[in-house]
Amino acid sequence: MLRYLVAWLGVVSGWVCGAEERPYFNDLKAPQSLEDFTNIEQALQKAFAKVRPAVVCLELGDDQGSGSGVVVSADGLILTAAHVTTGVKRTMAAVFEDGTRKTVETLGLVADSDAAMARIVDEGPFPYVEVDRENTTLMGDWVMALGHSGGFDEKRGVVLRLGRLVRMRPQTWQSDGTLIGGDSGGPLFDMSGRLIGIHSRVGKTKGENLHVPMEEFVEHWDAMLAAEFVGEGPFAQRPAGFLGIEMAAEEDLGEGEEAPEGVPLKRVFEDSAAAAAGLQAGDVILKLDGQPVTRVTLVQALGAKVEGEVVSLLVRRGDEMMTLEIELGGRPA
Amino acid sequence: MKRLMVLLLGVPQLLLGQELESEFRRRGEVFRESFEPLRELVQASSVAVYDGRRAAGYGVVMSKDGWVMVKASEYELLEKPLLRIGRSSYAAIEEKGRSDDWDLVLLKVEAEGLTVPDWGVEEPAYGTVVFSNSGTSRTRRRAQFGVISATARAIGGLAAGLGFPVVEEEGQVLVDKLEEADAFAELGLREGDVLLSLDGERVEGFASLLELIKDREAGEMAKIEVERGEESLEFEFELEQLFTRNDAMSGEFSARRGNFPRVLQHDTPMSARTVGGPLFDLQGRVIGMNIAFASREASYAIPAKELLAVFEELKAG
Repeated sequence: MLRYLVAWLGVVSGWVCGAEERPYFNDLKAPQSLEDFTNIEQALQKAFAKVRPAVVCLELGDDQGSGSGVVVSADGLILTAAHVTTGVKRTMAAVFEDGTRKTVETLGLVADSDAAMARIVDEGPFPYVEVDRENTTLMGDWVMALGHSGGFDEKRGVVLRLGRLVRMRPQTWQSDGTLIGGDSGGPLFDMSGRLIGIHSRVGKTKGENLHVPMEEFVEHWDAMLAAEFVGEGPFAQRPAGFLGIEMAAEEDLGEGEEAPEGVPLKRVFEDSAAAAAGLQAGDVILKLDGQPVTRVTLVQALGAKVEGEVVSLLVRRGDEMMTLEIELGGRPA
Repeated sequence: MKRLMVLLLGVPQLLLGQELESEFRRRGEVFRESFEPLRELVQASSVAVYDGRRAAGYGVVMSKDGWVMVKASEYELLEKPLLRIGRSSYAAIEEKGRSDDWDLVLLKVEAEGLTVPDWGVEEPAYGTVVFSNSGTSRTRRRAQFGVISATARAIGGLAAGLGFPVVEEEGQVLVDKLEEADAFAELGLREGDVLLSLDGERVEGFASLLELIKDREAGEMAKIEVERGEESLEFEFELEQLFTRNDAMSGEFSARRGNFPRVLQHDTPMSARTVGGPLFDLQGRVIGMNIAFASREASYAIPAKELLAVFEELKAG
């Protein structure tokens, strides 16, 4: 019976995976001889040479630390981790191993799995790697982790680690190649040099090194390319929403005099969400999302909003009443 | 067997949430069988260092007649050093020389016919598979593998920290709570002392302190001036290694892991207790001597070429 199983395996794996692509040592439970190690070494060195130039250090600027990333297209599309980019449309620097620095704008991210995309703003072409969109990796496969561990170090170069895939869950894979701070966002490759994951975090022991599988990137590819903030954390928080108004100072009220209804505006900031929606100084905000507001409740309600959220304002301008739908902007620099 | 079934069924999704059994992971038992020939070389040419009965790292056999190299900064702390080579142990140990630059001590024991490995003095390329000591029992050394993971280079000094806790209050930097046994408490520093200056440069708030200490290295001497009530006091001490977030992930790293003229870097997950032994390549050549477990992802080894040069130099006196 066993003989038939083995025969079947040959046919099926050849058909599913493409026989030339999948190194035989991936299908050994463990290397059986030094010769197996020699073959692993040769595959590793060949794959490493191929992908090495596409790995970058992502520097966040202002001593905020760094992560890693990998270029996946000639025009400079980068895959990295959400906790490295932390948000959409932010600016950071990509440093190639030879020290070449390029300006990067972050695109979208998936906040609950730690996937993120960014793009080099400068003109290419750049060295890039092939993404394994077919999800061909299996449990126990040998993997190669690269990254700028602890930050960029030109004399040291990019840091290589060898391991095996030891656990596979839908949004998280675990390998036993050791990662550390600074590797976050760096690439995990199969032994042919195809990108199969992005480094995310580590556990307590040296054997717990976690990666976001490519499947998660492929699923959210278009949303990330469109600079969308997907999901609700924990790897990135949506930035606070900003309306762009200054409320009029409170006037002293005489005895028995009632506070005027609503919140009058003293000023509307240029280039803000409020200005874009047509709010003007002198307008009085009466309701936010259907609820009557005072200075205090308006500040509280807006303070809980995030960038991109849409609010509905009931506004009085002179004798006219109007309802405005406004998409909150980000906090100005 | 599980993977075989899955392939037959053609349903890779079944793998989700599964784990590779521990014996097939890199430190697993099944793995070790595959490099038994190298384990035997590791066994023969590594020296297990003991302090009485406690295992205290490794060394490298440099010659048939009992010259041995060990890591200096850890060897000098031993009370009753004992070396085990092969199945013999040696308590009569002569210290023949020391290199602070390389953190090496050259030892000599009365022995003959020891196994000396072939040396590999060519620079190993990125991705070269390497083997090092893992744990040890009285008679059996284990081995573990890794790969050369970075460019060989000099390692500079480590970033410095003050070594005592501080807090910022109203723009001033104050000494925070010190344990009674803290070396700084013994030096005379007290909680609440206001830090006025570091090496003559005024400290005005936490940010200025960070700026002053940014380019300092661990091990350098520093002088601080503090204010306590009406008094102004001065203290002088050695700056400590800054303990970073990455250090917190690294387990038991080597106390000395900076200031080496040149090292190979590999990804073997070692610990302070497993350094000191030889670093082998797949051809069974010693390409270096493990000198520090620096951090979670990085172990350092002195390249064989430099190790041999230091050996000749120390041996010549």
